[in-house]
Amino acid sequence: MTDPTWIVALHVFFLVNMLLFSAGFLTRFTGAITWIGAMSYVQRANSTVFGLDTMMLILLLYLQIGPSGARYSIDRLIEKWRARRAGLPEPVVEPSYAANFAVRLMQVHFCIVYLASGTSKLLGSTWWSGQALNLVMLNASFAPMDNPAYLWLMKSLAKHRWLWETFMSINILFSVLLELSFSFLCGTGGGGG
Amino acid sequence: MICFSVLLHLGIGLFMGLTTFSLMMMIFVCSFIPPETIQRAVTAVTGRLRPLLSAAGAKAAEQKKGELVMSQ
Repeated sequence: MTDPTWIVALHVFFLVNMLLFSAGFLTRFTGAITWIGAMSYVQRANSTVFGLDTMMLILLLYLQIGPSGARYSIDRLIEKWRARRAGLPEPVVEPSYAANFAVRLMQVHFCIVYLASGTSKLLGSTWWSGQALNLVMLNASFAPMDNPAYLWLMKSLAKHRWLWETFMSINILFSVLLELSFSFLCGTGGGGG
Repeated sequence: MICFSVLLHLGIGLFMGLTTFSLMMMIFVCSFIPPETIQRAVTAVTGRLRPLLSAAGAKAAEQKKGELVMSQ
């Protein structure tokens, strides 16, 4: 389908669905349509696909497994309003195996993403030489160079070599160690931290 | 660990301009927050908001009643 009118109509339809899903209205239906919409965007707009889209699709999939609109949603408000109108007590949100399973899947997937990210950094020579962050933080297409505060910070750091190297090394160590250790310090047990 | 992860993504968002990606990762890491903690936080917020909302509602109802009396 290449008719611009239909493309705009479909786009608006998916956007409205996403908005309703975010608010938790008819969550089961809007959730599934949102996932189909997000997947369609990713499949059709390859040039704009980014890490964000990948992470969003993962989250959307798990939100279909769990009862996403069970507690903080418009669906829940409607459920309470119906009970009140019928003179019944407020319905209780029962603990759910599906919710627990979905949250656990998210946690495991997050740990895998972090571990893969951390181990792939270990394979990169720029992470060992300490240049990895320079390449991103001084890259005008990534970093907010048009922001005067950011530019001032970068210039101030660059004026003192030792300060620059320390700042970059600490940040590199922090990123790599966090990503490598997250899975065994936070990924098991009760999910606390 | 959750705080460290949020800090990492806050840094990525601010220094590398990847704001939407960082926001998504911060939402993802929220899955590690125990449900009881979230429930406690929501209860605290709604507990503080409820008196304000009910006071505003009562004031509006009183105003409406006054307008009704005036029109009669």
